[in-house]
Amino acid sequence: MITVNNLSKSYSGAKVLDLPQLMIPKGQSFGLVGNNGAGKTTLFRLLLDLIRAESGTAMINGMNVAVSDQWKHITGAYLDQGFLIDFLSPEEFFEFTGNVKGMSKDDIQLFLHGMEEFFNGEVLNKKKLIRNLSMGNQQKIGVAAALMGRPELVLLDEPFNSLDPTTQIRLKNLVKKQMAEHQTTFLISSHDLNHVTEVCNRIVVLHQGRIEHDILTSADTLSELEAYFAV
Amino acid sequence: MLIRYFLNHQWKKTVRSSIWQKSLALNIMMGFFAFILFAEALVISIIISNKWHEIAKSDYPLPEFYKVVAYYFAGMFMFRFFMQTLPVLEVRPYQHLPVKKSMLIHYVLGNGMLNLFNLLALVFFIPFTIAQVNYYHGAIIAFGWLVAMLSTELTLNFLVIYMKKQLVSNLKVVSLMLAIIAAIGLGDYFGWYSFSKLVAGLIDGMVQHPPLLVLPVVLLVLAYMLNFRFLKARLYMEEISGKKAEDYSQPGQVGYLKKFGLIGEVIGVDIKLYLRNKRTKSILYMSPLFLGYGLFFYPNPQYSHDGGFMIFVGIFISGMMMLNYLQYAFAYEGNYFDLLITSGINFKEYIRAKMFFATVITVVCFILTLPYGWFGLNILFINTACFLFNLGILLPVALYFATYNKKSLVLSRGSAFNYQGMGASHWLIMLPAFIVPLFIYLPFSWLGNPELGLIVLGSLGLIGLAFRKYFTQIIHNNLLERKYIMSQGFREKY
Repeated sequence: MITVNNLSKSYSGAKVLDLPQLMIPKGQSFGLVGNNGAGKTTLFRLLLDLIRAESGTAMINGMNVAVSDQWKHITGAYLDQGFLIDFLSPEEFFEFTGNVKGMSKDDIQLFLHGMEEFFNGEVLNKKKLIRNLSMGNQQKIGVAAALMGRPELVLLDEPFNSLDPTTQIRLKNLVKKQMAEHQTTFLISSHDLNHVTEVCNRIVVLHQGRIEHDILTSADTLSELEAYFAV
Repeated sequence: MLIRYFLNHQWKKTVRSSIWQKSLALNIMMGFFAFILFAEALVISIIISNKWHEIAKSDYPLPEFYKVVAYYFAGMFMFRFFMQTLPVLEVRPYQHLPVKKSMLIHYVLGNGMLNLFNLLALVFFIPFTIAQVNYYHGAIIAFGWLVAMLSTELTLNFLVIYMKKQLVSNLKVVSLMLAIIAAIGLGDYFGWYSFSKLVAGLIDGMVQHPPLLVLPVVLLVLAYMLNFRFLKARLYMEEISGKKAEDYSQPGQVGYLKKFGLIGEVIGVDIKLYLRNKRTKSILYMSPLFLGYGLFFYPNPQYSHDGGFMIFVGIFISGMMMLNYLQYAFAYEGNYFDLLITSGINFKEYIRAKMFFATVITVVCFILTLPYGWFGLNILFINTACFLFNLGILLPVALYFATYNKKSLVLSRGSAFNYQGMGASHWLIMLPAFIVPLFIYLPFSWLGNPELGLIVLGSLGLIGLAFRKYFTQIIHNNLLERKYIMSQGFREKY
């Protein structure tokens, strides 16, 4: 699904990301952990062609993201609030995103119906614009919009942030369900080791822009990771 | 002690913002122009002050000068209203700290006094005080006169700040103030009374009865208090951050647009953007001013015979709204630019949507200003030529340069401290849009064939229209080239 070759990026002379090789097969849920400044968000932005790679290529389904545009139709992403149009109501935003992703009106209704549990009754029909919702609810909208149009690949940067405990659990279930039903590939970063180990079947630890560990999740993974980060 | 930090932070904020670092050339140019203007003003002021009694041809020439002062104040007031950048300080980071609220406001207001307009007042008044008032009335009254005049200038300063702050939050008050000003202006125009004579009389009265010179100082204190109280009542977190419970409304639903597919979708978002954000709304409120601009000039035959000036007006009335829209076509959407470029929207369609909407705006403005034909058929010709030029040439050029506008803007925080991009630089960027068509037209006009100038202007517009596909391609390529830079610029919040 994702192939990365010699991808690197520096800011004012310092390498913030340097990945000789990274392959993520279809259907994998890929967890990204690392302390602040490890290069997680930089990797996300490079994969989404939001910043210019210094060297190397990132490919989604064999398409170089910096050259082609087609990968956008199979990719959903939520990195930060820059992915929300805050002066729209949630309904309008979903309608906009759905239309751009080529969904019909019924598709969108069906999708939102399926999201009701995740929204916990706090998002739709509230008669509020997105900018007037709490951080947690904005996060829910962003994550849900990333799942619209049945993408083959979903990128979520710290999706558990500012979600309440109930929604965190529901998000985990949602991700698992998407993977089971549609073989969606997920790329999720998080600071919560419990969440990533539970949701992801492969975990990569980034440190100063390089891959420090690359593990397939097993029963011992959590303790391994905790040992690594307990410096 | 805290003041030191405030100044330091503001300095850093200015110097470290991307717009300053990337457009150093523009800043230097503006600084240079300001310096030249200033030096010239000083020299002229000194010369006139020393020769005023010869110019006025009177034994007691001061009242004549007071009339000039009256127009100076009136002109400065208008000028300030459009050009003045307001004191900006993001007070949010300081609000939770043990800093007195009133201290923050005093800082913001005091900071606002340091601007070019107030410096200009010094240049305007000091030479005359020394050369003339001092000569006729002695040093003490001259000093009092200077203080009174500077106080009046500062009062205007605070009035403008107050009005501009109200402009974003309370339109009724501003409309009322503008109506009063318009009434004063009209009264003078129709000769019911003479504004200049009235003001000159007031100033002369104060000079003849020196204790009255205190009055302007009292006014200044009142104006300061007005601002102070206005800000103090609004210096709450929720009001500054715009997080307070807004009236829920969803203006801008245009179901009809859905038929146009992606183009309609993009335009639909644009319309909602304009109607739901305070900043853009205040531009919409100003649109009657743009359209009505012609009314200032057409009735006066002196202007309408000078074709060059009419070109300026023609470009202005049908192009101003379009330029306003296109100048920030991408910057307004900066807050969700990352979404736009990853969502699979075809860039070409996206640009086409922007161009289409800008075309609609221009056409509507043109149709609305057709009644100006009542002032003469030649005005109709001029406006039509300018309209075609706007549509064919200025429109694509403006969209091309919009990709260089990559500073993120606060749209929803219309309250107290948000005046980004409303200062002088915003208007300066628009200048070429008005000067170029003038340069095209004037040679023909001077050679005695202004009609040909108009035809050339209009034909250029038509040619531009014919080449629109080509322009779209250029803008598209430019957007692809600059999208990383723009995306990064937009991510740097304020």
